[in-house]
Amino acid sequence: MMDQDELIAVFVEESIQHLESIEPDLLTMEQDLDNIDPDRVNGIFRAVHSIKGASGFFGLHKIGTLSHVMENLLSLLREEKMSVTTEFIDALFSGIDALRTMFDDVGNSEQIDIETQIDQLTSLLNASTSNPLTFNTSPLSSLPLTHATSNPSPLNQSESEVSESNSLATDPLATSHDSTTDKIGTDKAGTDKIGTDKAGTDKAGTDKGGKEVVMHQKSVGNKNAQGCQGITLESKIVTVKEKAETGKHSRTFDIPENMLDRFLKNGQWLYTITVYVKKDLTDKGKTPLDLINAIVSTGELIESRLDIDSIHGLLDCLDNEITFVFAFATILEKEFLPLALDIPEEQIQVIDTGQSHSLSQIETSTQIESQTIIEETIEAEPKGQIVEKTETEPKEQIEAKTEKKLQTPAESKTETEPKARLERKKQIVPNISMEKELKTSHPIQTEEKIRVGVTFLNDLVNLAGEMVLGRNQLNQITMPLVKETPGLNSVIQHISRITTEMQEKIMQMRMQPVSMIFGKFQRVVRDLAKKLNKEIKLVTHGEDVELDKSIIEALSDPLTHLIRNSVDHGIESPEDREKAGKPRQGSIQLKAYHQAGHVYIDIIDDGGGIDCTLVGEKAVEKELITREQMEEMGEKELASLIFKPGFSTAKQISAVSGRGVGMDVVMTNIKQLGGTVDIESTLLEGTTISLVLPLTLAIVSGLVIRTAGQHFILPEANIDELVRIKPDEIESRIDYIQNSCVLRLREMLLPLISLGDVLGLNHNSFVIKSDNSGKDQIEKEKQIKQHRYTTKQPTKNKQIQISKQTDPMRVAKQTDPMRVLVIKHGNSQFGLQVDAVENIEEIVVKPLPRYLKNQKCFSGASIMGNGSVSLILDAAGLFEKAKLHHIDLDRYRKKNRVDTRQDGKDIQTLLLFTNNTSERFALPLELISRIERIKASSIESIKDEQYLQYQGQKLRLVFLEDYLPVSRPERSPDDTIGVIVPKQMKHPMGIVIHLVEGTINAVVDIDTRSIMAPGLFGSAILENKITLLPDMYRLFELAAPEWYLHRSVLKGKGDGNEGRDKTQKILIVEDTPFFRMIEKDYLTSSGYDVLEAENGRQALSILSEQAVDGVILDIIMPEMDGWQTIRAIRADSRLKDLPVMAVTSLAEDIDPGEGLKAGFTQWEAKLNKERLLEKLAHMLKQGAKHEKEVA
Amino acid sequence: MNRQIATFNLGDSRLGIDILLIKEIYRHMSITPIPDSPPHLKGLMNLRGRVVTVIDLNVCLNRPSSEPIETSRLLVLKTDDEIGKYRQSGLPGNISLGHDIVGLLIDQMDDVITIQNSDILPAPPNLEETEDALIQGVIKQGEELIIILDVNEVLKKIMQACSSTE
Repeated sequence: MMDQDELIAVFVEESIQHLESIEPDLLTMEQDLDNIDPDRVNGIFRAVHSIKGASGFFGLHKIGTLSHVMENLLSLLREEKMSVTTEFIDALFSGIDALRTMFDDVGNSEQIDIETQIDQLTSLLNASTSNPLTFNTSPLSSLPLTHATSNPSPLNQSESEVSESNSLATDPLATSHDSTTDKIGTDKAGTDKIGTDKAGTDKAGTDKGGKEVVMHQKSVGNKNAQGCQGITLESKIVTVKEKAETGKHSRTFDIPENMLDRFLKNGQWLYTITVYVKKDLTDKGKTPLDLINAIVSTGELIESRLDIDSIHGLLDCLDNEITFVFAFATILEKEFLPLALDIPEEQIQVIDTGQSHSLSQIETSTQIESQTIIEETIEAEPKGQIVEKTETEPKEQIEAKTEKKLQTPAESKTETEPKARLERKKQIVPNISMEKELKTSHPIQTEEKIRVGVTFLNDLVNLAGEMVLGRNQLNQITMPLVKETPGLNSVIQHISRITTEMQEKIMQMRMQPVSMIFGKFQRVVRDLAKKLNKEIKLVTHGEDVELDKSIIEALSDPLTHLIRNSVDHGIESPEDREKAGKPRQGSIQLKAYHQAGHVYIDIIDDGGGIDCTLVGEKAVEKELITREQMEEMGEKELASLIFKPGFSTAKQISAVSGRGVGMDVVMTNIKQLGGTVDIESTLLEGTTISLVLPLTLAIVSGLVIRTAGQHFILPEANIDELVRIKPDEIESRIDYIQNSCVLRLREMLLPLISLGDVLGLNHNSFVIKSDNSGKDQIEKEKQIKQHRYTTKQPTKNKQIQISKQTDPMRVAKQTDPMRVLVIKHGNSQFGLQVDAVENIEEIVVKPLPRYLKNQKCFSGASIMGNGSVSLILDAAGLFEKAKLHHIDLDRYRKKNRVDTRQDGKDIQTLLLFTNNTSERFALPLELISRIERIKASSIESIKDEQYLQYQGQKLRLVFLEDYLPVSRPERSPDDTIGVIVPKQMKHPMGIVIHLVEGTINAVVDIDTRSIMAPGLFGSAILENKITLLPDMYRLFELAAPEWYLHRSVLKGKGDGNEGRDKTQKILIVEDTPFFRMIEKDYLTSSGYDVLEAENGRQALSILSEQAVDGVILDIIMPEMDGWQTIRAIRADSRLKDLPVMAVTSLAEDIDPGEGLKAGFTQWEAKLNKERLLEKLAHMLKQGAKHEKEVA
Repeated sequence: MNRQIATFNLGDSRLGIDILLIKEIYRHMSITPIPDSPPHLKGLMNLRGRVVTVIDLNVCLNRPSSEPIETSRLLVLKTDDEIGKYRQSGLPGNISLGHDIVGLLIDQMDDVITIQNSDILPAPPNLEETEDALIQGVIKQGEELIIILDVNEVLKKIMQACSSTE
């Protein structure tokens, strides 16, 4: 038995859920005011009703009163006595808001003033009904009255009906207990009767029957109910019925009239409850006394009966359930009874007192009946009643019989009574709408759920984290024992897998769909748009995308802000929109989707876009940036300025949102979640703001690195690539610019910082080698610290600092290779020099103790596999601490770019690898995300496909020998193999290799003739060896055609290629034959016609001769580079609107904003097939649109 | 009212802390130093999956830092949540230990002594170089003087040191 406090919590929770479910329904209703779906109205009605019902029980009068008025209004709508208007919806919304406020603080709900809402609602009510209703503050007592007034109905009619039915009810009851043969007879008779029934009422439909009729009867009963008279009437029935069945072993109950009267007056419900002695009591370890105590404390026991019918003798007395049926009056609504008595809901039935508190109540009881019916029939089978269940037997017969078995007095009394039915049907015919609504309510099958507190869940997450740690430790300790101990390996693997799975499941428990927050935005947009006199439609996609609960919660505010912003500043007024040739109604799209292990949430509006120059001017005016800086910025960068603190472009800061006021808060909030914000805006066309969020906060994949003998963790998400510099290359690849150190990486110059320096771990007195024992390290550390803190001489400190600056020279002298992590930092990158890179671990992030909150370099701590604590590095903090001269470096890089080019040809970096055969392969390094070393035994086979569990995903493995004309290697499960994981794939796939030979920087001259096969670009001679160049994306297509099918389908349908009546011609301008080929392959495979040019000059001559639909332009080319080419193209009046996409292998290096300013339509990284094609299609579409507009 | 004081040795002196504030005494230490942090912080340690901030009590008491020795232990303090229930039952002063677990590095554990509040005497002015603020008082046990630490003040001092580093 729950106490009231607990019950009230359940009530509040459920009510809030109800309110949440109402809102979208109301919004949908509002969209189409003339065409209201009665189901929807009913849904709302039911929700409001349940709130009202329970509020009375808890003595929450204000909630009761308000919901009661709302219910009345809804009931009018339900009966089609009024039509839906905007005022109506508004009134309901304000009611819902008031209810929500009250539920938020139930304890004080009585103090809240709801007069306005009530007035609003009542005025609507009075306006729409000729006989105004009055309201009582006690909803429960006033309810029957209002029902009565709205449904006047002749009393004598129903009375006669019912008495008639009772007299006849005896007949089928008697037969049901006769021999089986007799039963068939009766059944048939029953069918016949129903037949006549139907004929008599001229009703269509063949075998809907019993159940429907029952419902009719009930709805009539409900409608006919008339206050006290109704009660008298119904109580008579109960008594009469009981008499009719006396003598049979009946399970009906005799309820004295005066008692019934009293129950109804007190607003109590009557139930019959079936208790299975074994299932409900013995199995749960309860005694019958417990049950009786529970009953007595909840309500009033009217009568009970122990049913021993099912026991036929000693043999089955143990197998068959003894049932205990009791009639019971209580103030509790049906929803609460299962909780209060610990009895499954289906065993509880409401006695229709003819004055049912609402229709919904009856409906639920009907649904449950139909369930029990099925159960009962099955149970009945072994008892010799198989005949009953023949195929031909009409449904209603089974129902009728089981009804009798269950003996719900109100149901069975008319159940098998054709005449009574006839009567009722006649009466029902005019009321079709009521019937329809009842028919459509199907019992909803939902999974059983339990509520768990968030703290409990968090504990579980923590424990799961601990378990992962334990598993890691176990793995480490058992590693050397595995070989000697047979069976240990499999046990370890088993535990390992279970731990991972368990952790995943637990993390999943915290995952919630974004619909949790998306849902409320419909309302936000509606209200705001109304206030601002705008017409806006909000479209949401991907509501089922899930995120960690904590992220979902933290996301609510920033998203609300962004949406409000879009409504307020993004979308123009309908008039302006019309002038601009846009539809009056603006649209905001809210899109959630997964990409590359992150969740993206896009807010796309088709409004006016952001005026970047205006933003720039404003920023200069506010002294956020200098004019010089502004002039160097691209559009995107300028647009991003709105996220700077203290920025607002809104000429008038409205109450709703001043763009800029709080945009920086959005940025901060998202950053706190480990996410990023991206903005893309086209003036007059709209703005897209993308939030990129991690799936979860608690567990991240991190790279364990070591510097100065100490371990640190760097979240993998921050790392772009790992670079190993050979000792003899160090000198040539490290440069100094204005006293800061840079690393030459391909064609870029990366600012380089040393982790040891930033953290103050490297000291000129000792260069720490990796094999230093930890303790020594600590001791040395200590000395240094002591020195630093006790001397308190800033000048001295500075000297140490300066001497550290010369460290790269120290590095250069090293004989070990140098390790550099290339780290993403906003739009740029920097290199972090560390002593060693150890491995990747899934780490549980623990917050830093408060003493370390000021530490910029660390974002958290974690416990490693060996049980020690490691600090998690914060890339941004490190960078800030190192204070690099960002802008200077950028300039330098740009200047230097041209110089680094060698004899006009692009050098490719290729990964060389073998497949345990004599062939050698190469793949462009840029395509590869990482190479995993795994045990061949960890590959799992599913039918003919091989998978690897990888970062919580199923990585589909592709074997080269299956698709390429190469020899087949021998594989044994004990092998350690490599898996190449490509970058940015929609579907996780990997290529199985044997060994990585290394990387090579070379000018690749591809031979496409001598060795050719699908999935192969061709071959090349690299380092004097024939090397095959597989076409990775093609291989994937071959391996998993099903994942790529949709693309060709789309092609056929023309998605993204709309208006493409002829094949589109694309010019590829690219100096490197290798890339040219790959790009050409991508495009031709997608159905484009391709022209090729080796440099800008060639391209221009082609463009002058023939028309193309689009150009893909490389930036770095000999003779005439991409920048020059685009200027030339844009200078030509014929070509100024030609879509041109820039592709670059240095996606991070050059700022896309700059590119767009120069005149490029799009900007994309080379070799990213999916995105390239996507962007190309988009670009061409835009171009076509533009042309039309111009025309 | 009786109080129990856990006493321990650090350097040449004997110190004491109210036993109600102590969560446990921990033996196995593998401390991860925190780069670029004030010397008051010895490092971080894993205590059954929770991160403990290890404090160099010597530095706090203005003494030269020392390295852990064979008998060294970690006095793990309770957190605010854990001392909550003792607040009514005679925990002295308004103690706030924060929500992070803190461990004090000490040289050797000693007895637990039971005293009366009245046994605590004000600290003599000649008591080494330790700041007065950190000392709640002293107890005389025969010839020996036990310094009762004011944990609150110790933690405050550390917090100050940490805030001023950046």
